[in-house]
Amino acid sequence: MATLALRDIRKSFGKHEVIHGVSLDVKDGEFVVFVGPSGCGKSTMLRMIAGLETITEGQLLIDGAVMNEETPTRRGIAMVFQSYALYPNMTVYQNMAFGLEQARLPKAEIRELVLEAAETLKIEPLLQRRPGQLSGGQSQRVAIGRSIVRNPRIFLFDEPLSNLDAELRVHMRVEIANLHKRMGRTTIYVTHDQVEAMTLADTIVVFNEGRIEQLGTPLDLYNKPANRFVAGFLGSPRMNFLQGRVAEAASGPCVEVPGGVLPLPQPARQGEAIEIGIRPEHLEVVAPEGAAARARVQFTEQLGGETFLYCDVGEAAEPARIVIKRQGQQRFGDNEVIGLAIGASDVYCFDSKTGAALAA
Amino acid sequence: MATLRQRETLAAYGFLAPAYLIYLLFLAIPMVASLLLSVLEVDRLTLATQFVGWANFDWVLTDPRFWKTFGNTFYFIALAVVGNVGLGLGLAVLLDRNIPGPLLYLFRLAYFLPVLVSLAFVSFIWRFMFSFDLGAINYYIRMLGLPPVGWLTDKNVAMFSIVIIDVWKNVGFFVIILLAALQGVPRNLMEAARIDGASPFTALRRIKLPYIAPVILFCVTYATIGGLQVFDSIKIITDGGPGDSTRSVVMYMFSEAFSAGELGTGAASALTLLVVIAIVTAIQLTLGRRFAGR
Repeated sequence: MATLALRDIRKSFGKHEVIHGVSLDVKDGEFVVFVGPSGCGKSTMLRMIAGLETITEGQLLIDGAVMNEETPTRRGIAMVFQSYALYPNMTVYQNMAFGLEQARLPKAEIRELVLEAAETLKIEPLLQRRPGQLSGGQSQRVAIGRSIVRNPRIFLFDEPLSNLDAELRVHMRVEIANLHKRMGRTTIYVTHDQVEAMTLADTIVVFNEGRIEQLGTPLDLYNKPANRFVAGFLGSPRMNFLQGRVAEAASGPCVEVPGGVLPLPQPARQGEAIEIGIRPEHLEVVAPEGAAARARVQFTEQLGGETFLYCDVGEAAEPARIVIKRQGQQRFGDNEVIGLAIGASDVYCFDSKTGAALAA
Repeated sequence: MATLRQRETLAAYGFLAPAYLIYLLFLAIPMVASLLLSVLEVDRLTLATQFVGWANFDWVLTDPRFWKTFGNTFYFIALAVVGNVGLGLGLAVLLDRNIPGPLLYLFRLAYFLPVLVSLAFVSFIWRFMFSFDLGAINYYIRMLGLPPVGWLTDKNVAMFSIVIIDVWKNVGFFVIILLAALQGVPRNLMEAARIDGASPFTALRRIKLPYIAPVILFCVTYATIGGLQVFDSIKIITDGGPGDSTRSVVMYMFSEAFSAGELGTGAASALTLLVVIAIVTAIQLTLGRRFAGR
């Protein structure tokens, strides 16, 4: 078993602090995904857990023991790099055996472990090849093989799939999920790809500017984002944001936004300025006559299975741009005016200054 | 009126002409001349020439002095390659770490400076340093109460002295090249090695050095070719002595052609050296490719 705990971890490069006090508890066997935009500190955090970067302040505990000053080997971690980082002068077999040789295991045992890992990952035919003779997908499989062969307590993945093409990425994603299910090891996985985050994670940790914005299960984060940043980061196409002013209608609380009036899930102070968020898939297209809000279609993207409508709402001089995602193939003319409808529970409200979600 | 293409071609040749001219004057013509000279006998006074076929090569290849200088040259190469590349690699490994920028710059400058100084000048300074009675080195050796060393007068030591000068002068070049190679090793590879639990020494031996093997091979080849041509420093410091103990092939060539005035045998020995350089380089490249395995 292996639990991981971060206690108020900080990291500075020179005078410049990049991680500002991160605390996190990872349960045994949990699959945790760090997501966030470039430069948010997620990779630095992973490298501190790995022991490749020093921890400026705070504590890193693995199974309850402080590990700040321990070597990567003593921490019992294995890491898969974005660039694979296979040793180019060694064969696949030697790459996988290298770590075990450093642990001074007997040759026969090394052989057994390498063959076993190779079988798990179906890379036996590659064992005598050198990294230069492998495709991207094969290289990543070998890199994963090199990490599982050492039977680590914790797996660390640093954007392992971002160098692969789209199809292979989906394939390897499924394999990593299966591997985790089979081995049940605690895993920390860094990515900027929200699809990987949503599909792989037990828990997603959203980083921004060296802090945790929110953590929770994928659907929790998707359905109940704590703030505008998380709401905008998860979901594709991203959430639409509109400035609005709270009003009152006969049907209940509502908000005036560019293009019309939308219902609010909760009462709010009359006249208060708030920011509302609407996921593209929650907007219904209705007849413009009598609709509470209207939009003008600027252009459409036909993806076959679904259609994205890019629309302007509000004053023609200063329109706001929104995206609507509809199932199936739907045709609209350019500049066609459409009506919009949305259920009150699908409208997210954020404080227009702090961006924090307003409690329902 | 010429077409645009013709005018462009003409202009291109125009721009290339100066470079070609220099090439012709200083490389192509002397090369062809050496080829011709090697099969001719030239009369020193009248410059009358006579075709002699392989006779010049026969003379050179059966001259024990040629083989003596040949052996000297390879002895020099063995020592100089080990000294230059070995020491260069050692220094490069020492410098390949988080040294503050300005300090690293200073180190690199310090090692590289001798490379820029004229070899003739360096040789004069070292000749003084190595001097038996007045030299700085023997001064300190005597201060330690030890017997002075015949740096340039002892035939068993003289070649070492030449090598010391060569290494002092050239090691900076190899440090710069090898340091650049070491710093080109992807950081992720070294991090993967740390995660695999490799000590810094193991990581160096098993990952870094194999990674830069092609560069090390280049350095060995470069140092070898340089060694085959060693001349200036020996000419100035020992002039091949004591006896013939430091005389190199190029010195043999020089003395045949210009001291003895036998242009034909001089050219023949030069061509022999060329063939040897080609063979040695080919062997090193073949071995290196197999060794580097990439």
